[in-house]
Amino acid sequence: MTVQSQMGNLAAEARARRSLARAWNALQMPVIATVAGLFVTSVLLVCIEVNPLDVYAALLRGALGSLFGISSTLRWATPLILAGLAVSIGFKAGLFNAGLSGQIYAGGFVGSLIGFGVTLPWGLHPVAAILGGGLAGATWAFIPAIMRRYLGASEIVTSLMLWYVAIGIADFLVRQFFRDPTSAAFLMSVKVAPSAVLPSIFPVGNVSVMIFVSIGAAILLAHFMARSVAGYEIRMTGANPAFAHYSGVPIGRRMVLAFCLSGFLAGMIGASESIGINQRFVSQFDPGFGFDGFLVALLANGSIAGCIPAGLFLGILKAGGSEIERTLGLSKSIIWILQGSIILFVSANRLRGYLAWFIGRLRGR
Amino acid sequence: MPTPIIQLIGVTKRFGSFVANQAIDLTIEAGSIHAIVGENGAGKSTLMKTLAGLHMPEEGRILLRGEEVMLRNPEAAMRHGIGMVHQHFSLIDSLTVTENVVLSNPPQRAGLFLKRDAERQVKELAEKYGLAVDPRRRILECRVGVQQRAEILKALYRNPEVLILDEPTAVLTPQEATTLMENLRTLRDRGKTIIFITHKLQEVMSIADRVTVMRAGRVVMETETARTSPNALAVAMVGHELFAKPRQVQREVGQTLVELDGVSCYSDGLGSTRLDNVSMSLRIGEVLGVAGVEGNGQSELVEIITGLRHPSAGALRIKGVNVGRSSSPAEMRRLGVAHVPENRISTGLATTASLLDNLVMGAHRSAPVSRGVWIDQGAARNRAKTLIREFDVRPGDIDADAESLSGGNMQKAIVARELSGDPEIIVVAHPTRGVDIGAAEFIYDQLLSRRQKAGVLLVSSDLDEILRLSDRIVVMYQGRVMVEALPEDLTAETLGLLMAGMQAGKGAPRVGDKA
Amino acid sequence: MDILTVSLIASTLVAATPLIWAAMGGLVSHQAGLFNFTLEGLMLFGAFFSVLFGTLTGNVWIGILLSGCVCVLLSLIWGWIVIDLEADQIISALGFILLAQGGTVFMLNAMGQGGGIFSLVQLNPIKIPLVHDIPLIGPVLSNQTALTYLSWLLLPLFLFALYRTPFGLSLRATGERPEAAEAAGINVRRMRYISVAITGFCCAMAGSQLALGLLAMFTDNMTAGRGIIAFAAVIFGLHRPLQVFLVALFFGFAGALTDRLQGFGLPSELLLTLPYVLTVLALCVAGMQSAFKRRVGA
Repeated sequence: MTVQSQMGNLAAEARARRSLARAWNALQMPVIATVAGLFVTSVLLVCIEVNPLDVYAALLRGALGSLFGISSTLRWATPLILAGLAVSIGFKAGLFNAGLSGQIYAGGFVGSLIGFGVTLPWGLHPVAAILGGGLAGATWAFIPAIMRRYLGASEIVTSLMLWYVAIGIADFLVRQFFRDPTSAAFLMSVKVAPSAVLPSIFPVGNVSVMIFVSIGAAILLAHFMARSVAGYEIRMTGANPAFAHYSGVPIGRRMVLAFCLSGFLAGMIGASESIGINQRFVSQFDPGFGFDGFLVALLANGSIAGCIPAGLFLGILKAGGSEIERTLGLSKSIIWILQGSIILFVSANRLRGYLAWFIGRLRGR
Repeated sequence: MPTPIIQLIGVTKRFGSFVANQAIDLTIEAGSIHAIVGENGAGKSTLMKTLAGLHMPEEGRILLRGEEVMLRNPEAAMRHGIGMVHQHFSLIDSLTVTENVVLSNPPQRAGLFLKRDAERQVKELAEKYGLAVDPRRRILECRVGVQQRAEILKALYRNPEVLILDEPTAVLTPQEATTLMENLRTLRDRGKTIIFITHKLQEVMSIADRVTVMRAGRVVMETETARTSPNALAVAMVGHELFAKPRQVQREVGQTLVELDGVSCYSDGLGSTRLDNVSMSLRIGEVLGVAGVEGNGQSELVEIITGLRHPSAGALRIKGVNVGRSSSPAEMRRLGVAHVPENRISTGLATTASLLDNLVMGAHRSAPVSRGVWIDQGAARNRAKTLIREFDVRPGDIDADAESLSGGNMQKAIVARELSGDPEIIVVAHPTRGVDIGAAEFIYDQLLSRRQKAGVLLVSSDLDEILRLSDRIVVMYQGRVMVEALPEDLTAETLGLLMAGMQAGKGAPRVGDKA
Repeated sequence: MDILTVSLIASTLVAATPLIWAAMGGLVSHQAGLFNFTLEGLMLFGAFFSVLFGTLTGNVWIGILLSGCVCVLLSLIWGWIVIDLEADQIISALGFILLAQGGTVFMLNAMGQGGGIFSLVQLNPIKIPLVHDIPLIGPVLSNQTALTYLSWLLLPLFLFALYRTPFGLSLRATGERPEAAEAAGINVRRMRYISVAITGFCCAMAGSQLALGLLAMFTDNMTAGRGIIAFAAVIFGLHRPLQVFLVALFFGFAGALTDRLQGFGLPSELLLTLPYVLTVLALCVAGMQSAFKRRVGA
């Protein structure tokens, strides 16, 4: 072996080590937070005299143990990956889209509106509904984005407030104009046209072709952020806005772009739920994808492609939750607690330091 | 002779390998005004922070009235009767002057804040020392000079024997500065000991009893003010060995690149005018040195030329194009302006991004790096690697985060990026601050070699740097151009005097209009 | 004044009480410089524990106080996570809310209950002798629960505590410029913990009023976004006591009006958005003001 190739090998090894270290670094907080979440949940389960291991086993069985379980996992992963992407792209630009749920709602309304209000051929109809929903979400995200750009108003608070406004407007319009006359207590619209329905691609369950759209969106977006001019500028705006501005990047426009992109993804979730799962607009149809999106994005820890495994992980929790409910008589609340405690701890960077100190002390003895 | 109130013996303070204070001996007499002067980075602030309990020295002893003390924190220094007024105020804007002054120990009875008593106390204190404030006014409604008086009152409220002021006149208008000088005299006459840091020799001569000159972390001179002159102080400040090294001065200049015509700039807050009717020009083939103590308008000048700030009045022309108030960094860069900013971490880099991302910036919109909407990774990496090789940035791992680089290598990376597109207008602010000598020499060579095809605007408060690189020099003081001169007409001494706001005596350079 | 107006005032006061408690509690954290979005979660916990402890002890006040103690503890845990572990305040608050929703349902189930539990005790309206005899509005101002009356006392209490005590001075200094407060010898960390504890207690009162003052029961997710409205009131009222109090009162009025108009068949959905729209507008106006100031260079 020549000296040169030896050196080349060494350099390659060093590179591999570095990327490994970086991956571990990125995974540290999500792993720590998940362990903390499992710990909190386990303590609570022990308190009510349930063996936590039984619960986690049931969870995995329910999510992955059968074709129905897998289809259920994928059904949940579909919106969760998109929600994670929506939050992540905001994070990349240094923005916090706390009003994801509002954009989902807007997308759900407009998506179903296109579903029942427009006549289009098969094939094209769902595409139009999904894109329309996406545009509605983007529009709803545009308001806080320009308020941030021109008025400096916190996008966190405004987008959050607009969530409730979206609920009010959509519910009002549905009640007034599109209500299904046969629905009694629940507020829901008329059914979407059969041409607009996204069919299930599995023999059981509710998985639509949208799962591929979600995964495709993640790959496309990861590529866009890493390799495109606009993606690069969005990343630099998030990394250091002063630097980006000084370098001539139009940071205001990039922020608005990223936020609208985030809203577009959120709107797609709403539309896909409307025409895929419910086949109509149902008031309060969103079971909290906004929250879940944060968890996905935080677990992915800044990686766009990382939203795919993180979304699948959360999909497993959701799908497994039903199994826990069914077989162990526990409610899904245990899953909420798990999620909540993970979110609670996942940004607590100092936790890492305390843990290192604690482990060091243990070793010291 | 009475025991001095403060005695420092052999005080040394290091930050890592950098020695900020080297075996400092200092004696402060009770009831005197003692000035500490020196260039930026001479170690004045570090020394005073040591006295105020913000740093612990590695070596040496601090004696108060002849007794050795340990000043572990500001609270301890305060208990020993040492109060400090920092250059950047720590006032709370929405609270009143009174509330700020008494914050550390508000007068109270039965859990009740006695506002009236507090206001009365502040009023008495203010009257006693001649510091005019309205105790009930909120800080955000006060002018900078009044805010400073509130800050001084805040220190006085704790009844210190020694009051340290760090560049107290840096933010003040000349009128406010004169008032402050009076205030300091009153304080001394009431028995307080005053130590103040300054760059302005006029102030030293007018009110200080004694003066200490620091350079490069050491005390180089200590004397009674009456026995010295501004010239002697300036010489001590800059050191003798710095006298102009011979260098080929560029005489052949070409087309005018940047032209400022009566540009003024008013700051956003309650402060004063930051740039006052500044006119200057930069031409191809020269290095124009802008000398001045920091905070005299150079930052604003740079920001205006690079599009980060709009002039409040006056005209700015780049290569004959009038770029009015709608300029932006993007537009200025299109016109060929490159900018090495004064703060490399907050502005010059995205430290959490990779070196690759940092080096691609600026080139990412045009070929060969950009292909339509996509960035060609191969071309981007090539560019980054080339720059790293040419500018010897170490370690040269382009995938590592920029924050892993040392200060000198960060600066080399920035200079590499900014000089890469062969820009015609190169604006450089404090290019070698905190940079090791090797890297500094390299950056100097780069800047000088660009001179043939470009104009370089060099802002620095380092006299050596200015005299070494400049083909023409302007000195800024309080937002104005004091003089414009050729380097051979200036010595370090006269330059030091001009930067300190003194008009030079003999051999006065041409003042005012353009050369 | 007709009977409709009177009953509208009455229902405004009822609807506003939890909002006032939570918003006033929240403003204390904001005054200490913490962006406290946990109000919704704290209220939910407060409601649950007041029912639980009230029923267990058989005394409504002991129940409410114990609920207050538990909420202080829970709030301090969030405080520890953001103050000492330096977690992101908004992200961790979102986690806290989710934890509250999951946690209360979990405890309901652990007690073998489904969607809710009835309380064996409740807060009774108090008749104030003289006031009660005033025609028309007398019965409205009187006949409220003790927590409603106490919520009115919060305004003078907070105004006094914030602006007339050394504690308030330290708190305001902490929130506005922690490093300056630290330099003046104020223990910033301690001030923040205290503020978070106060928020926890006030939110427990808000939850108690909701659970024991109106229905005498706890149901799954019974706060239904009231904590978010209270948070909006804190933001809209610029975390100053008088403004926040009035905004909370106004949001309560908007809620009551919604219920009323719903009776007439008017679109309640749109009215319900009023607090949120107003908050967005307020942020707009504040932004425009500072943008204008920047432009004129004042």
